[in-house]
Amino acid sequence: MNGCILILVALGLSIVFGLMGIINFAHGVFYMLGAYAGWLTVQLTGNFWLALVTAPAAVGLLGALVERGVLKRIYGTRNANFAGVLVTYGLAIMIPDLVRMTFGRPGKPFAMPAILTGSLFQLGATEVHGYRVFILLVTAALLPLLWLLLNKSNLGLVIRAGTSDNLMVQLLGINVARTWTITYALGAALAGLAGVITAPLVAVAPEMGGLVLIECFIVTVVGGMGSFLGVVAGGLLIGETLALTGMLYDVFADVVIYLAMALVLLVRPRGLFGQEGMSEE
Amino acid sequence: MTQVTRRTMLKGLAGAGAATAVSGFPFVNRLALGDQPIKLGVVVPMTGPMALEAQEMLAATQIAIDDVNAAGGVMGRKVEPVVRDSEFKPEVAKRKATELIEVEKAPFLVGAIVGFEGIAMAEVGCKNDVIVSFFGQNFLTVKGKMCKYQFGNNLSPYQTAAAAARFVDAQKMGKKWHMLANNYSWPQMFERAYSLVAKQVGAEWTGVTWAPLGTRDFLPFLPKVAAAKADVVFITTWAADQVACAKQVQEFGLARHAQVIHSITELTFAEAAGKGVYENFYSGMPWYWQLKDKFPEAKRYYDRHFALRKRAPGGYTASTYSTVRVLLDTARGEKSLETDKITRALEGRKFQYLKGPEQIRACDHVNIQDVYLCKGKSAAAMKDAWDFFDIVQAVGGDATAESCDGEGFDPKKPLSQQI
Repeated sequence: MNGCILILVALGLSIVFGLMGIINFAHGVFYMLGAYAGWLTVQLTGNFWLALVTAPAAVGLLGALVERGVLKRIYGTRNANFAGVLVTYGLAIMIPDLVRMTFGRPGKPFAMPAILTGSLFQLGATEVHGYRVFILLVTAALLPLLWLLLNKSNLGLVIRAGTSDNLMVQLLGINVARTWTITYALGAALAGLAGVITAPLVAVAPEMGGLVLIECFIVTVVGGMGSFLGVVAGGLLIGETLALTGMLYDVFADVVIYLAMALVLLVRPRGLFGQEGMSEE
Repeated sequence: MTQVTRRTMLKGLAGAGAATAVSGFPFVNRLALGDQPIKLGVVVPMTGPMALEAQEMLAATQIAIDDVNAAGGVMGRKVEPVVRDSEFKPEVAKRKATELIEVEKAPFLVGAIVGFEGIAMAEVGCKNDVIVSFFGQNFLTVKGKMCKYQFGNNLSPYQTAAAAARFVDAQKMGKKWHMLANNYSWPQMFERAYSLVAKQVGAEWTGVTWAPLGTRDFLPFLPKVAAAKADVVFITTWAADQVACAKQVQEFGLARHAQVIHSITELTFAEAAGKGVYENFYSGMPWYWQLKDKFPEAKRYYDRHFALRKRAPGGYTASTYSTVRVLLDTARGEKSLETDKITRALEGRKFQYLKGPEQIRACDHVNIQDVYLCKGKSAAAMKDAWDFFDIVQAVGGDATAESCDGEGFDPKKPLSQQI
């Protein structure tokens, strides 16, 4: 499960960094908001499946508003990257407090749909449960779609071109501003989707985005900043490393992902699939 | 010789009078302070992940203060809380505790939910000779880690674990034990307690499966737990980790193979997990709201808490009431705010508020009390929004607390005479 969640969250982080050059500290917040939006939908409608649609849509929309309302103001300014870090870090502090003030007590009960509860089959020492398979299937279905979007669509072409040479894309008359908004919203929606599908397994609380953000930074660094394949490989590597360490040598689980990151960076500073120059500066 | 005129003499007398008033004869100060309330310094994480629990504890603090004030206050003076937000950060807790002592002149400090806040507050209190009493677990009861001014009516980790282990033994749940826990110092204290009690009752201790603090996915750790083939699995996690763990242990179906005991839980965690998630799990608590049907004072407290907060109080909330109340009652009885005098009076003090009899053991300041082992209910069996558990057994007395010898203290001497 961990690997799938990390891939979904880290993909958004990586895409935003790749195109916009923003190290988005607010990304974990979108993951948390996805869980809350899902919880709210289930409270109002009792429909988990609807929450799978409304939560990413709502979080994506919010992402677009954040990009248009806040981040837009720092583009082109001196030290824009540094300002981006400060602004998104500020959002990461402010939004959880707003959620706390709005929704009251931390921890919202969020049950998984009855159809997905229970064990499906035994795999070694582990029982494989319906909801875990569901998470796997959602991720597996989304990844090719995202790959197609980023590699075979016009939007993807602009995003990739913008990642490579933003100024040139603007000179060609392409509305890069709109692409940035869409990209940021897409990243937020992916995090929101990860949030809502994780919610039945964890505590839905305002601070739930903090740790996942750290792990996703590790995934993107290991996989290579801005690389789709890198994020998938990094997410699987970090997720499986965590899982295997938990099974085989649990006391080591605290540090293993940091060691994995250090090891990868020692051998390949740009990450497993990172482009030359990116994140090496 | 210079002549002193009547005017000069009067000026001098007026000046001396003013100076005396400022510096203060004791009786002048006492009279002046007679109208001033006594400030109880409270430091809790009003923001951050424990904000709800902090609000609950503030309500309990206020109810305890109201009770003391209704009985005439302390030395005829009203008590009022002066509350500061620790922001769930040790450095902030330390700064706010210092501010309460130095600026607000609070004679006592109470508060802290988790260890790092408690350590920060204890450091400040001990340095300034001010009594510090914790709302969270009383976890520093080891020689070399505490000063004589530290108290806390909540359970100690040893007490909590020993009560759960004694319960398992009494209920004949099996003799092979294992623990799943977050990997940091607080659960490590439970490991020691469980392994010691296992030896005492002839159980086999199969060790611990450690998950990092902040674990989102416990599933990878559960096969190791299952592989231990234990009759009983103790789970020592807290807050968001406990909620995630409870959900996933339920999903994994561990309770089909072993008795699952949460060493300690809080009502808010069961609420966050949702109805039925704690079904068939046992959980230790310092207090549970069903006690209102057994103890009249617990019923009075429950009703007032409910009126204030529109929700049932949890175990830590009730411990908070007891922590504040015993401290202020002792000061009232001693007619003093003097730290050493109150400390001596608290040592060995017996009292009963919201549960069975309690006593602050003199040699280590552990509060000897009952721990309530409760069984989680199914969603269908819940009668209202807080009806997550049924009390199965109260386990208490000296047997659940580690001996003072074991902690490095002399059992025959009050702590204040040892450190």
